[in-house]
Amino acid sequence: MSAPRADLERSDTRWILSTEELANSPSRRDGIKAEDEKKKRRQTVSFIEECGKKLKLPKLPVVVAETYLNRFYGLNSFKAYDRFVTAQACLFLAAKVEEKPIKLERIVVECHLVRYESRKRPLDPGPTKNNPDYVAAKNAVLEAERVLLYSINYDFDILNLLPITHFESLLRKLKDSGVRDDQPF
Amino acid sequence: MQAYDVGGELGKGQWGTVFRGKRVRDGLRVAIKRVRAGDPVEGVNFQVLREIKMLKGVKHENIVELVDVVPQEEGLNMIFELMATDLEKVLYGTTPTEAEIKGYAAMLLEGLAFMHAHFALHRDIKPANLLISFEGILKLGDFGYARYLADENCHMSDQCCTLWYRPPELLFGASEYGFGIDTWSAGCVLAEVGLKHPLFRGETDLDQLAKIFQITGPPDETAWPGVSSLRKYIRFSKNDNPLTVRTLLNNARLAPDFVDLIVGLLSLDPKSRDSAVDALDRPFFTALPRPVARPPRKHL
Repeated sequence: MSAPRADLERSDTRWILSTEELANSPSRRDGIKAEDEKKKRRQTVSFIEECGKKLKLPKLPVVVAETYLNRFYGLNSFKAYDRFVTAQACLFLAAKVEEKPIKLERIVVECHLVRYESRKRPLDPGPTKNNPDYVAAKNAVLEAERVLLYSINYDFDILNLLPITHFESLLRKLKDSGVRDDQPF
Repeated sequence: MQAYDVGGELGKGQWGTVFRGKRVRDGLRVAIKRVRAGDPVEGVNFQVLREIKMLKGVKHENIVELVDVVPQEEGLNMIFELMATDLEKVLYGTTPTEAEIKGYAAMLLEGLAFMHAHFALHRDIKPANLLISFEGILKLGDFGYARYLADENCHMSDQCCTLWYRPPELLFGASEYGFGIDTWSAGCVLAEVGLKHPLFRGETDLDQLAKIFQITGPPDETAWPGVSSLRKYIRFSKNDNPLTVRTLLNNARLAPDFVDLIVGLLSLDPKSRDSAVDALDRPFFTALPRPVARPPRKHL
């Protein structure tokens, strides 16, 4: 497989990139400007967010999918892999990992709607699910899933590492120490 | 895959083949589980994902070690440490001593206690999934059904655990359950070790319940508060001469402290069932003979 893989030796800190690594990201080496890369990350994450809503996914798998995406583009260039296809693969994988699996057909159809909403052109799998456009879109996500798995080095149990998890425990501690908690968390 | 020498086939599973192998770098003996990841419909297999998710990076003496994951063409190779045999083969192919049985019981419960302390459920405890190393160490294997405990009010599937080892709350369709499902299965396994045959051998979900209640008597709201509101609850009529698990095991001449251990794990109400940690505190483990781990006499 041609996609780069996470460094196996740096186990715990593998996903914390240094300033130099960030400044010399795969996208940067591929001629994408820093602002553009940031923008692409932002847009793709909100694409995942939108698709997650459309698919009625709980927050957890959506957050996990967004983390997969950011990790993936820490190792790969936005030019080399279509971000919307990668985003769908992230959702597809995160939903399975977080025990809320979604049929690939739904992901492909709903994400297509989110992506091309303005053009109002739904993707119809067809009665025997062999509409060539649909089959191509589906296969692209399946291939992207394999590249994604390899790139993130099968590290998909990431809940304990997410900032939100630490934030949550911090809030709990505050609450336990008597800080008023008017807002449900 | 150049890092591993692939040897002969060890077996075929639902979703792949297992080969014997060797790590080139240091000669470590491994089992290579080759799975077809490229399912044309739903991508990488759900059970494979679960297994990698739960096992990657986990090191515990009584949990099988996932050494590496290596992609290959359309599939994946999961590299495990090579194990000598499993409890099913040891139980039906050899005659383990009392001290060895005690060792297996302790190691099974240690593995479960570790998982449960991390809020993980195995959900498929049975003799064939309890692997035994060349040194005689028992390790939990096959994590295809394992998952983290869901948050409160989040439903989990009742379609897990092999039928003979499936606890009554799952058979009654509970979707919120806890560590008790693994400890029930462990109780069934330990009874089977003592009896040399499975304890409850049902043929269907309903028959499995009937087989259990034939011995324990059917549960009611006093013995198991909340049982009648489970989704698939069915009232079973009282049988005239319930045997109780205790008398059944006593009749088979199991040591009394072994019987106590098993009975504690086989309480119908999951809330009053012993946890793995409770069970490890039972006198069975401090009485003589001491639990031991000896290399198995027969290999795969």
